[in-house]
Amino acid sequence: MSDNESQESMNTSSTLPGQERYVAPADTVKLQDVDSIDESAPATSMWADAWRTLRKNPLFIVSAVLIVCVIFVALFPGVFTHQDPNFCQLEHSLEPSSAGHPFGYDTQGCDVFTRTVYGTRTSLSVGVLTTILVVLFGTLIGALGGFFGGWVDAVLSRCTDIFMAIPLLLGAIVVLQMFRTSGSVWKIVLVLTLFGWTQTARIARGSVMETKNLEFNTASTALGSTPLRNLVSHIMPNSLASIIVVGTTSLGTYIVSEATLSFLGIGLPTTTVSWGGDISNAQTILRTDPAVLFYPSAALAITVLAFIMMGDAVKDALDPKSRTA
Amino acid sequence: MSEKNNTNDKLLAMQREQGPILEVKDLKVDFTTGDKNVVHAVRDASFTVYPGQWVAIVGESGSGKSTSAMAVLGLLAGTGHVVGGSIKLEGEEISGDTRRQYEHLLGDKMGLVPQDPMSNLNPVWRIGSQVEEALKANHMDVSHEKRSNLAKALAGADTEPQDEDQQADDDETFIGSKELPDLLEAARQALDEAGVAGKKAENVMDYFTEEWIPGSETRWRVADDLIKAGVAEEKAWTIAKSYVLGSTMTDRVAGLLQEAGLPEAATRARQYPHEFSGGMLQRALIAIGLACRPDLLIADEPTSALDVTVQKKILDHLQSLTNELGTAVLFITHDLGLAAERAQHIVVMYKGQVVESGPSLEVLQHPQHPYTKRLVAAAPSLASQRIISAKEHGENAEKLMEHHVKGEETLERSEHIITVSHLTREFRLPRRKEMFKAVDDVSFSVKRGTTLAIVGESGSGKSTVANMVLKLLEPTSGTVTYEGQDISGFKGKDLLDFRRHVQPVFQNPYGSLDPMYSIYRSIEEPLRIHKIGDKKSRAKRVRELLDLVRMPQSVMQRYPNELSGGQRQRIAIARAMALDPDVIVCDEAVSALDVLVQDQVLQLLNDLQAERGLSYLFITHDLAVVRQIADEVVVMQKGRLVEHATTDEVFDHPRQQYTKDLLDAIPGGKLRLGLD
Repeated sequence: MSDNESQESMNTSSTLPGQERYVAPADTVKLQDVDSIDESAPATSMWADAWRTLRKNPLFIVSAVLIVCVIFVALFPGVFTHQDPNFCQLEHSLEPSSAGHPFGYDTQGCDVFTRTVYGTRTSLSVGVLTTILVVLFGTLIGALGGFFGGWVDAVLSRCTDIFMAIPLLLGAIVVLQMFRTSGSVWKIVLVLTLFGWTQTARIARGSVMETKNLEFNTASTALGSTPLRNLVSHIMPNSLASIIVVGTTSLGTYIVSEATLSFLGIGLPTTTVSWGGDISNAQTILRTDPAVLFYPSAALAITVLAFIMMGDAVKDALDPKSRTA
Repeated sequence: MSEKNNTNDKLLAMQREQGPILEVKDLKVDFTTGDKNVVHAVRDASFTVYPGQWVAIVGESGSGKSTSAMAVLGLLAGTGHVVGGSIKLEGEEISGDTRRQYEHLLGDKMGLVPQDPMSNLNPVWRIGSQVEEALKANHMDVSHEKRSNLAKALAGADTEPQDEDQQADDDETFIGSKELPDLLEAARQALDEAGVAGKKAENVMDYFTEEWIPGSETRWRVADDLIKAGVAEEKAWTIAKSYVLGSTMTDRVAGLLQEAGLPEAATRARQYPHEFSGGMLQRALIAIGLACRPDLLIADEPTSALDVTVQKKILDHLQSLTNELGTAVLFITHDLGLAAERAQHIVVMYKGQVVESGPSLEVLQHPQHPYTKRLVAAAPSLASQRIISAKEHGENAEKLMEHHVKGEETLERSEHIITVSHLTREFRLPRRKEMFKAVDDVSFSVKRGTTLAIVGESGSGKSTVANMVLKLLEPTSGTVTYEGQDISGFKGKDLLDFRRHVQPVFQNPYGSLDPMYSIYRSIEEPLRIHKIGDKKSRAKRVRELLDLVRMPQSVMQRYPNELSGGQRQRIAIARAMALDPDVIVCDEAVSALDVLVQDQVLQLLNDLQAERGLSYLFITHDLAVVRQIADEVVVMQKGRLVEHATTDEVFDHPRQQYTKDLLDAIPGGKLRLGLD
């Protein structure tokens, strides 16, 4: 008893002001169960999260509206104009805009509005088809290299390097010379894919290599999963986000590349309506009639801008760094 | 002892006289989230720190302990801001200060030792330059020690009182590396003159060489050392005054690093962060935090990323250093045992509020708030025995005893489910010719229905052993047998069968679940891989498993990023249990979790063992956890097995010095608990 007392007195004497024993009343802070789950919040997957972020992004809304419009024009050009883009009358050469012909006429007397509307399909199909092929081929090469590593990776990476070393324009000129007469967009698509898959392959390779070393793959292996199953069901889905980001961002650049090739005269023949071709034709009369150059260029710029903005928005939404771990 | 008491009383009197160095009253900190929601991170928190005192703030993650500390430092991240209450530093209100005003306080008056040593040093700067930067930013005089009043007074208390003129500022001049050889020579001569010779003189000189560190030892200490060695007082002061002339920046940087416990500091100062281990980086950060001799050091979980033995060494060192300098330390930790061991005063925080505070031992021995009681009950370092499962809890004492005896018998008799013999694994290190032996001739066996723990520091090879037992890694030599069969031969169907019976639970609850998989798909995955049941029966099984780990069925549609670490770990356990395995290999399965959550997961593992007779191979660096779960312990050091015995034996009669060190390092392990 006396012992206790002396200890008590010791304690009080050694306690400094402001450091007295304090116990919060039990009812002010409600004690929760250890590690309780907040069941009120809605369930979200990565994709649902990304969609929620996207929906709120004005950049996405603007670009999505533009892209939908562009796609509509590409699919149904007939809704906007009843003329044939290749129906040209020299008598109308370089006439200014009039009723039914809002953009006026070019040197050949073709309706600029009609040609711009019909050019959409060419540009868009080149962009979309190239993107699809590039993503498929690039991902395949990159994923295989990244997943297997060793000599497989060495061979595939060197191939990628070789293709990367060839300048797009130089390569395109050489290859396209062989198909000068063909008017199909496929030749452009194939050329762009041939020299464009390398970037996607590199991204896919890096992404797969990174995902491959994450612990859930080890966990899966220990559950009895085979390496190939890991690749398909864990590694690829987790690498997809970064590949999609490159895909959307580069779609715009493929459209530009097609225009460049057509402008240089090695792309599509003049019989195929395309913005690049029209821009090329209009350059000679730039000083006298800039409007002829302006419309296809503006259409090209808006379309490319829309896709690049979309790519940016998707990147923001899918960026692994902004995602909560 | 009485001398120590004397100093303590003196310290106490001085603390009372000087008043608190930091006084936080009713502090409120809010964070605004994206949707204009306000999160009250800290609500009405009050605590007081006196000069020269260690005060610990204890709480789980999200309790607001770090936020409170950052508010004091004026370094609140992002959208956080102080919305109420007061923060007084040496009696002056600082909570409303601007960033510029804070710049004068930081470093000089308040120092910080941050949590993660890896990310808090600039990787492209030499360690020394980073210490130098701290000194330069605060315009520190590198040739003189800056000693707090408290330190001066305390130092005066245990040394001879000196003349007025000798107490002048000059006596705080550091030794310079240039003058050091001359100083030592002069000291030797002085010793000769004083008649100290032979072995004794050698010893004294050795002591001088060791203690007189340029940029760290001061003139009056040199004089003091000489006087103590037997040199006449006048002579000693003459030597000190003529050879201790102040240090250069380089000396000071090395001196600071040496003080922080970094050996060969002058060489180390020229190295880059990647050349340092985690413990060494933390020492460098301590040197930076203390470089400008702050009166208050805020240590935000300074050692939670380190091994326990390293943690003990660093904290021991920090404690002696701050005692000497008279620095007050505000110590943030989640470990109640560690807090009680190091601090005189404890503040327990929960959900942004202070729920209990008081003298450490008193809080620990007589916790009053239900949350503190819960913490004390769960703290592994304070637990003294293996968890008894809830099932066994209900039975009366006699039956419990009976079970225990039975348990021991089965321990002796039962067959070994996993046997590891002469296991060795070598790795080729980059740029090295010789092979590195990660695991070196390790043999042990896991008895059916029991838990064998492998304990060791990081780099001891314990996880490599786990991976070989799981057949995720092939051993260089030696064998692992499961139920008497060598697993190295397993292929195809055999391997699948083995995987079905031996399941892992990994350390990182954030990495081991695929973020793209819903909880349902994650738990269902093993059933799918092994082609068990149809869609309907699998769904039923997933529900069963969620019940087993005590998770509500509503989590099935959720994704891992929505769950806490402990919840994810429970999902990982559910996934491991899906195939009804015999053995679970837990690789640091609870190491990343808060104490309470850790306790919960351990209880769960234990209950599962009691219900299903599971065998565990439990890999951990934390001996405290071992006591709660293991029947047998294997201690590993540098790839070798150094001790293997039952848990009680290891704890009560450790045979190896290494094991003793590990036991010693358990924070709060020696504190006595008087649980009511």
